[in-house]
Amino acid sequence: MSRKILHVDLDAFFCAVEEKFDPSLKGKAFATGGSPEGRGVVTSCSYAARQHGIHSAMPMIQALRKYPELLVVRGHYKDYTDFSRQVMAIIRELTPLVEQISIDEAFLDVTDLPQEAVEIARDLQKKIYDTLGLPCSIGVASNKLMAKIATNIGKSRHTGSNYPMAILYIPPGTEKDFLAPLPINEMWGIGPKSAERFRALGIEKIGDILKYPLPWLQQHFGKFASDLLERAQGIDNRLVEEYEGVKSVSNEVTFFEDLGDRQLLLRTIRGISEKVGRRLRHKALSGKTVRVKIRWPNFETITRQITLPQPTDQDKVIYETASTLFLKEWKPGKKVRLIGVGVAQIGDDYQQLSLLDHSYEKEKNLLDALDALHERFGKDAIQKGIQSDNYRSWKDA
Amino acid sequence: MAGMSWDLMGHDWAVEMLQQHLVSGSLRHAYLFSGPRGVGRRSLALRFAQAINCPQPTAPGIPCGECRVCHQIENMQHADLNILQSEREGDTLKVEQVRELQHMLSLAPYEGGYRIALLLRFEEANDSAQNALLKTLEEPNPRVILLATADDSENLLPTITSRCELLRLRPMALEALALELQSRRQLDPERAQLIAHIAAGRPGYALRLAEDESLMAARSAYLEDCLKLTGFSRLERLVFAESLVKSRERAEAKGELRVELTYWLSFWRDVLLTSLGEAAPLANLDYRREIQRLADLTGSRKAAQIVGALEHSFARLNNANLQVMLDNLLLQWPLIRD
Amino acid sequence: MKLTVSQAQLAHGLGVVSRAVSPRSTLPVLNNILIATDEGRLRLSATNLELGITCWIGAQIEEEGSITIPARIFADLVSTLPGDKVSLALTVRTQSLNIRCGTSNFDIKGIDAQEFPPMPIPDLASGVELNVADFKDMIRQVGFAASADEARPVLQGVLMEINENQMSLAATDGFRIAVRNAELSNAIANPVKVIIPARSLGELARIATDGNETVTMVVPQDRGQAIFHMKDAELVTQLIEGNFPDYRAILPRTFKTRTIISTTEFLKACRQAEIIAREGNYVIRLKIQPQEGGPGAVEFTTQSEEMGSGEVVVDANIEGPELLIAFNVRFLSEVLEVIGTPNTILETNANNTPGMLSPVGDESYKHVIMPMHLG
Repeated sequence: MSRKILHVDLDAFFCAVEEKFDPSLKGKAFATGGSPEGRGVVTSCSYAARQHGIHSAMPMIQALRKYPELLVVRGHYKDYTDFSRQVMAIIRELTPLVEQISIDEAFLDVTDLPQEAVEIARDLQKKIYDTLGLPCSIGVASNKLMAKIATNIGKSRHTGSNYPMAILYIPPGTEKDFLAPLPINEMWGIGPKSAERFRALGIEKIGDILKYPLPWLQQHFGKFASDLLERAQGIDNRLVEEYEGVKSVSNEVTFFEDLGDRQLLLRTIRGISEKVGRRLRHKALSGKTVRVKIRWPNFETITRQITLPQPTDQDKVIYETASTLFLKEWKPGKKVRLIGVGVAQIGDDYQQLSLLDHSYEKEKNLLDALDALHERFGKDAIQKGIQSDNYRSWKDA
Repeated sequence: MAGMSWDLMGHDWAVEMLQQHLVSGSLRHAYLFSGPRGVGRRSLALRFAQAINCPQPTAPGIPCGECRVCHQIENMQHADLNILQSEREGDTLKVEQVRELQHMLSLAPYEGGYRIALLLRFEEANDSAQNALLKTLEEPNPRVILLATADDSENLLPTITSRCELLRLRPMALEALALELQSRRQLDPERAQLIAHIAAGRPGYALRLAEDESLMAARSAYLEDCLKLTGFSRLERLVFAESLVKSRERAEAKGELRVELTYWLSFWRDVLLTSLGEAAPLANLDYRREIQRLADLTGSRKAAQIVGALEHSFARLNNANLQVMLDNLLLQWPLIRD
Repeated sequence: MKLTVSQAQLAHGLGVVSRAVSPRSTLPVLNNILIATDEGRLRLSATNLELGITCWIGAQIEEEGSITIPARIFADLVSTLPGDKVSLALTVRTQSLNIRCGTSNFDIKGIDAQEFPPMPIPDLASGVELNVADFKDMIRQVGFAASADEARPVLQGVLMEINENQMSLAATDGFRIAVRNAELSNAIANPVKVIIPARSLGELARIATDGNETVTMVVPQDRGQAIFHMKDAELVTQLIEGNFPDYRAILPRTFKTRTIISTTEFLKACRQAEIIAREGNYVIRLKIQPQEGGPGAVEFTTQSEEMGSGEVVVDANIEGPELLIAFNVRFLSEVLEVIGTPNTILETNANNTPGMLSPVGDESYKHVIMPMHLG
């Protein structure tokens, strides 16, 4: 089954933000960046400015030469960061599987959401625009490579001086044909300099790469050759992963049929907790906050969390905390559509180790934390059991 | 009598036991002296400290009472007597103060004897402070002895009381106390009897009353207030309540109020007991006529109500808005128009 | 009591002993400085019952006697006195001290000297003679590693052990240990094993000027005190009761990787890293990278989510496998500042076991630090 990957890319992000603060800029040719006297460069320019051949990274002096009436707006970086966070927060409401790759770009893996990928993309685009007034374009495909190319192509097909707000869908199986006629520099990872090299070898379009055998490619491109071959066919198996510093590790399960049985629900939570614990330990990470996500049949979703005094990577602690949080929100018989368990506030947290033996203190603290939890919420019977997968589908994040 | 050599009133059994521990070389690490305020806990603890550290005892276990060490301990000003108490009666004893004490307790005794920690009114320590002290109780230094006083061992964490040698001090029989007051302070029998009653058998309290005229005078003033109030109209009561609080600085007002409430409580308890026909001795002997009169006029139910209201006010003295609390209290006073 | 002293000397002496006056004292007399005639000199003493400092100054004594005077008032007064000669006279009946200098005339009420805690008189013959400069150096290298945490009072002290002519000082706060050994010129009869409050040693280092060449340390049997006596000053400290951890068992004996690195470069890297690390949790990561047949390098990195990141690479002589290990950068700076040699040896095993720093060519000082670790 193919994945559903979205690439969200805000349109002329800095400019869009500036327009929010100064609506008089709408429709005008303006650019954000450093002053021409200070040898600044264009960090972003409006679509109206692009009509005059202005683009990012161009020296501001040059931009003004191309279009002397260009308005130069000083950048407000703090605001950009704030808005970026807000956009990412909206995106993360949809799914925790988000890989932010720059201030205005992110990949999402929405394979496990029931709707069609394009539908999800449209809803997301609308939500971001309605909530924040920021336009974005979205590429929809079955992998990251294609999704990003889709966004780029989608944007480039737009003409005119308003924001593209493009949505381009590349259906699974059509990747190779889609890529074949595209110029080589459209390939992600091939910039202007590399493109020169390709052209020198007679490769003008992406499809041209496929005309050459692997040994030849290896000769000219070394160990990247096999990657290149795959990419040219639109193959990309990379996972959507949180990029810098894992912020949280979580797992979710969506039930094929809404579930109201206590035993099964707790068993699910136990299974998820074990998975999360294993992933944490595998990465040698631990976290202080345990989160539970519950989605009811009407799609209303709630998350609850509690912060422990000590970071944990232990299944038992995660399960006990998560199940406690869950049982607080759940009534017997109430049906559940999705359950997720996550651990956040992950260290990168260096702890000072102790020279004198205090291991028993640590153990004690942990037990104290569990006891405190029980006291707060009351002890609930905890059930162990074997797992079976026939009533739910997994999602890792 | 062994008790006499420590020159304390009452608690002979306790003195004997402590002397025995000292003389036989089996001092415990921590002692808890419990009992009502004024019963003589601190006096006993200080005398014990003197017996432990006096460099020239008159006999084994008996401090001389005259050397510099004995004097300094008596005045609570000795280098190796580390005192821990809340700032003012009724305040809370906090963890930071316990930490300061623990710092001193980690140092060897300055004068080479024992380092004695005196923890007064320890029931005022909050849970964190008590827990902080647990470590010291569990792993005491060999030359440190802790002497704690508290109103009731039930008011301390069981983890604390289980690690202390507990001595429950009780008030003396009234006649015995009155006799002591006559011989020690040369009081005439009637006065001695009155003070013994007011103090309800508590020697420390009795001594303070005997030695300080102003305390008795203050008591009279407070009891006069108590009686006056029964004749006050609602408005007059509110004015009175205001006068109690407004004119003074808050901390001072609280302290004085505590004393005033104490006397009012003892008075109304007398009224209650009288109205119930109880044979128990009155505290305020010198007011027995007024007590009888009020008992007849108000009846036991009303008297019980006021006693309850007073106890409630006591408990909330630290937290409540003084003005509001007093207003409520005084409005419950019975109204007796002659 | 009646005498004259030099204003300058009196002011200086008061300055020295005032450091032992506790700002908030339960006993009123502890706010005061004891002034007493003592064998032809004037003795000034102050104590906070943990630490006591005494100073002797020259005086022309007409009448013997003693009194205690509020420290702050006395010191402030004396510092403002105009002339050179100060006359002090005690009126015993009123326990007040008259201070006269030039045309200035003051009467200050004091507390009877009898109330002042008795200061011990050391039997100097039974003491150990220590070279002031060397001892100060030892204190400087060890004292800072003691704990400031009240929850573990024993660790607030420095363990001093003397056996025959071998002396060692050790201090730890539970995360690092500093140990310094020294050889005394004379062996002592009875072994010494005491825990001295780090603060007291610090004060000793301050008042022991190099003008005093030796300081005699006396530890009276079973008194729980140590006395440090110099010609014109003396410091008495209570000892801490309790058991000091057996640090010799904790010091690692073997190491996998041995790194020799320039002390100044190492310290500079730490100082730079601290600028960023201090915004976070003071972590500095060391990537110890040996190189086949050539000088290796240590890469120091630091990062903070708020501030950014930094890295410095320093050449080093490395034997053994490479290692990535993290430390509290302040712990490193503190020891590098006192290590005393142009090059420092850093010996390590794993990234979660103690590392040891020592001066090159000097076996007398060892400093062990526990690393910081993820999770």
